[in-house]
Amino acid sequence: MTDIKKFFFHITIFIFIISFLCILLLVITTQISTLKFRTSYQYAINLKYEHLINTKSPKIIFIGGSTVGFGIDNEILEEKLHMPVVNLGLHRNLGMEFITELSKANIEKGDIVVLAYEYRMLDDMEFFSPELIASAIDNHLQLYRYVSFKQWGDLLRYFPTYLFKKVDSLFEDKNDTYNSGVYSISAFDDDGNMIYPRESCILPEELTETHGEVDLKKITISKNSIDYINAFSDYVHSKGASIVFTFSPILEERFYRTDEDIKAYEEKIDQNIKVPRISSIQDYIFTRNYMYDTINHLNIPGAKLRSERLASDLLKFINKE
Amino acid sequence: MIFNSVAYLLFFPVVACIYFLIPKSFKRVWLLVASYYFYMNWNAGYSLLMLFSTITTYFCGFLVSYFGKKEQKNYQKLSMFFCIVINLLILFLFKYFNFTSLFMNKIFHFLDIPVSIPIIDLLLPVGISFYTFQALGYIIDVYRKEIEHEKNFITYALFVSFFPQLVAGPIETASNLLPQLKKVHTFCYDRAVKGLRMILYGLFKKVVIADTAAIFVNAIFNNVYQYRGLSLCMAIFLFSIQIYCDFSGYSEIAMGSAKILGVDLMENFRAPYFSSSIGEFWNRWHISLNEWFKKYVYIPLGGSKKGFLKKCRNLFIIFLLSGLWHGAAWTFVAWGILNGGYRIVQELIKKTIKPIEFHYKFLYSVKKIIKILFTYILVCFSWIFFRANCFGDAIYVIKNLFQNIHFILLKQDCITIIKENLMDGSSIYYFYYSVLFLSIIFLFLIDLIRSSKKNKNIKLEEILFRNHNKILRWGIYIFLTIEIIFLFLIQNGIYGQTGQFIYFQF
Repeated sequence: MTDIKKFFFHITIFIFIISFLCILLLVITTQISTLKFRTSYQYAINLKYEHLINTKSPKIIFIGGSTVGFGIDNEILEEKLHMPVVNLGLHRNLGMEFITELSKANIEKGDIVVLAYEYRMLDDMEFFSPELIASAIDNHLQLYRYVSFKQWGDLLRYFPTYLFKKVDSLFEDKNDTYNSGVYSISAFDDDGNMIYPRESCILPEELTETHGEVDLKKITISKNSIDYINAFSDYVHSKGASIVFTFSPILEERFYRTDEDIKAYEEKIDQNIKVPRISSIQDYIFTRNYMYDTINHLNIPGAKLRSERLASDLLKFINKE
Repeated sequence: MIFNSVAYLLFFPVVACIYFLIPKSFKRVWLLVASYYFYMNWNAGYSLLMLFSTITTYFCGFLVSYFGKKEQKNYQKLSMFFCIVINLLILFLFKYFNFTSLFMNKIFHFLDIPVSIPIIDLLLPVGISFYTFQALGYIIDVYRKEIEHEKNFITYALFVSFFPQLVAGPIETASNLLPQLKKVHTFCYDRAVKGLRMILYGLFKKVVIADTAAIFVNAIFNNVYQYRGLSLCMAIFLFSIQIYCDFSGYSEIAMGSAKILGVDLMENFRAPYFSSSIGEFWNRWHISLNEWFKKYVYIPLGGSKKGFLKKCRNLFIIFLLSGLWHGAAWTFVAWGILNGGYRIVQELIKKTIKPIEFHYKFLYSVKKIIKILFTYILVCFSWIFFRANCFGDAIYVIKNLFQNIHFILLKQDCITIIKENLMDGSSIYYFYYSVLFLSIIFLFLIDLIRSSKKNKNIKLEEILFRNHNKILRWGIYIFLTIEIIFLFLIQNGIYGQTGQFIYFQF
């Protein structure tokens, strides 16, 4: 064997062993103390995924952040559209790409994919929290398939923290890891749909900066988001399914806009994104009676109202098709 | 681009593969292009500065050689001085101008002279001290006729900018590096394996030890007034380890990278903390810089041959210059003066006190251990000035070293530092300190073996990997690699930064 061949042979074996050991360490870490995140809010992504896998087509798949998680009433939509609904919305910090990629697990002929991203998700599609993804997926290794190549870098950098947290949890009192309330797994049913009783608005009278705001004039749609959504649209069509675009709900008093801003933003969507827009921003601006705890999260009456409007928008689209 | 980055992990194999694949006439050009690309990753504009220095030295080398052959001594000397002045002026402008301005302004203010020298907003070019000294060494060697003037500009430019040693040395002599750069190198399995081993051990020193120690050291030295007693002692101890592993780690990665490309760089460190005197320490620490000062400053000043007083003066001068070479700050000046003082005291003791001879081997060993420990303590004391952010901080550290000596306070500080700089959790606390101290023990064991007379001529990688049991050797490779990857991820993910090499700032 020549020097070069011998060298590359040894280097290949070395890289293989190192890669194998790194993956083994990663897998072992996910299996440590699996109860740590089981009661967490983000764990619901596994229920949503299972529901997606087990739901037969044709079905409606909602993609978005927590505004989808908090803002869809499946019963209304299923009754009006006669199709089962899969709600993949959970948290904006899981990242637009991860949630959208996850839907690819089961998109088939006749399905309708509804993109209901929050305004800021379109602004910054790269944004995601590796901590949230790692703790959401935890030992459900099959979900790591939907983490994009770019996100793996951040996820690997987060890996030591994840490992230390899991090792620490081995020695913790198990009661410390138990979560409750709307931001826990107990807020969801077995299909990952929110069932937490949110009858009224719990926002304070005076909202502060921490509650956030959306100034439509300042919201942009990044080039990466446009390219990604258009590529995803092609994927959905290649599977024989349909894809539509709608808007996320927003509290009226924290949504700064004029009629011109709305028109300009909707035009921007129409011109750039190759996905039919079925809704108007105006229909998804809600007063605080319909909101729950943030300027994007709807309470139950809000979710019902939004679902009725969405059903109407979707029916128009289906009839047109 | 730093050695401990993903960018270098991609850059180096590509450069090496292309280097071995292309025809021999392009090899040097390729290395030159790669070296400039490597340097331009920091600041593309400053590569022009290096190019200017290269062109100046190249033509001056030509003139020195030309006038030398024509026996026109004055012109020859003039060409050499012109080259030295130009190079030193560049160095002064970028590195020492603001320091001098501030100092002069203070004097003018004190003397009530209404003059103010402006401060220039200039970024220090990475590695300027290293390549300037290398270029100066070249021109002096040509003047002294120790080497021939390099006629090929590409070869000379590569000599100044050769990327493995460009930004932090070793400062090579033209007589060692130029002939190697002229040769055509083909791929050699043994060299590649040896080079990779050196890179692996260098990365271990840098990522696992230096950068891990840096978390503790930076936390203390950047908020020095919050700490006292054992925490300060620990910070000094860890800084002594950090700077050694940081710089020697860099040198080993540089030597390993060069070795794969067929070039042997000079050794820069040889187990310096096992020196039994300050003089010996300086023969083992940053060997290339000390050799440079010895050859181009100490000996021309008369060295040790013009009497004891002149020897002491010369020693003092080279250590003062060495301090200034490291940085334009009073802390570096103090560090240089302190080391110069140590050397003079050592010479005085040698001259006045007859050493006690022990006939029993055991007593001799005890004496040697005491001498090593004492030397190490003196070196650590001088590191206080080297690391302190300002002179006031250094004085505070010295004053408070022995205040509030309680282990419980040290433990509290250790926990707080990890909590604030990495994360809250008991597993990371135990992991951090176990890795650090086990690695330091490993490092000292390797250095202990290296420092024995028996192993004087054995290369570092031979000590570490000389076990011929293949499984054990591969076990060491794999263990070190996994450790490096994991610590690299910790520094990137939790700490939020990969450690820059300390010597890049010089």
